[in-house]
Amino acid sequence: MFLGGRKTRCHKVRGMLSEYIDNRLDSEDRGVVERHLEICEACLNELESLQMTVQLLNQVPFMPAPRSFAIREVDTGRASIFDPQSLRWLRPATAFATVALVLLLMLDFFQVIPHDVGTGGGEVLVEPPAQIMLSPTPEGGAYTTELRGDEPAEAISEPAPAPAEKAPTEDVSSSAAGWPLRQIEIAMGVLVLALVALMFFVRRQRRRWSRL
Amino acid sequence: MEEQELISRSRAGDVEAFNLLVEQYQRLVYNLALRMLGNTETAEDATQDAFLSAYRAMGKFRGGSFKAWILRITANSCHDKMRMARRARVTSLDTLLEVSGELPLENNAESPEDYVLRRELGRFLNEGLVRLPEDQRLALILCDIQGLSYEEICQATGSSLGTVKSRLNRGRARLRDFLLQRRELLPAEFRQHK
Repeated sequence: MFLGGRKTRCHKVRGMLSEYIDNRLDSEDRGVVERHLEICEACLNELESLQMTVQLLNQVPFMPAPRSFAIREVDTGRASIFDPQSLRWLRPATAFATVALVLLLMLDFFQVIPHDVGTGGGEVLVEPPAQIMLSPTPEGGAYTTELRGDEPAEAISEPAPAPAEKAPTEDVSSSAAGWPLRQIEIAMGVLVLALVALMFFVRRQRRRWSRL
Repeated sequence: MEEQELISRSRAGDVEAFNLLVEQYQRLVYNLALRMLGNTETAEDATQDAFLSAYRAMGKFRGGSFKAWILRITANSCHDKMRMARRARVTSLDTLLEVSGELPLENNAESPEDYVLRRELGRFLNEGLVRLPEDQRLALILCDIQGLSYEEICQATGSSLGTVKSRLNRGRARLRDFLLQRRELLPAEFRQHK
């Protein structure tokens, strides 16, 4: 019981020794510590060893500054460019662009997005709008061209175009639904490369700048 | 020129006024960085970073102790340097301990043996400091090397008074335990401590 009480008292006093050394205790706590130190050699030793540590730290010399740390106008300007805060967006933007590019390449590979094959500026092959049949005229002899599709049949005097005739892209409405994937992929690739290069450049500049 | 006026002018973007503040505080800031990082080159970098950050953040300075404010920025700058070193895994403890930390000469009649011991003790003390947890190290440097009051340490670390007291208590005990591992290096009057 007595030993337990003493242990508790030692623990409490040791918790106050640092403040005792720095003269930060009020008179009441100071009295408690001093009365305990008179009867407890272990705590007295603890106090002396802590005082020794503080004394040694007090002797650590204050070194002169090796150079002037004055800042220059140009440093402040450069600092704002390569400030870690102002370029916070760079890393997530690069990551986002890279992920988008990979996604795009995958969609392209699995042909999820309709592909615009006429991206070379040429022409596309289109199906004829309706089926063309040749039928004899009631007068007999000559053949006229007849269109059979959704539209009512209409005789025309000119021959219909060949089934797989090439038509210009701008005339065909279905080509507008395709995506110029190649161009998008190339643009995204260039963007990712530019962002990565910028990141390396900024890192290098920041390191160089921090050494100034 | 008064410090308050220099601060006002610096807040308005006057670099020259800010540099007068730099001149006034650079020794304090450099020594904090040096003892926190234990390496002269990194300490210089951290000091320069701290002043640049301070210049850019002058608009956010809301009065109070400029000394505590600049020391807080320095502590953050040191923290960044340590984190970068940990991430790069290039800074071993050996490279951190290049500071000689030589303790000052007490009398001119020092023998060569005593000189070597004193030098060795300074290095050992630095090693002990660098091995402390960062928060305890900061509290010890500010209090026992730079002589700041508890209240100033609270402002410089952004911690409560209770936290500062506790860090000092634990930091001193920890450093003491480290120093007693090689008591032959300690001054004669300290060697008998158990």
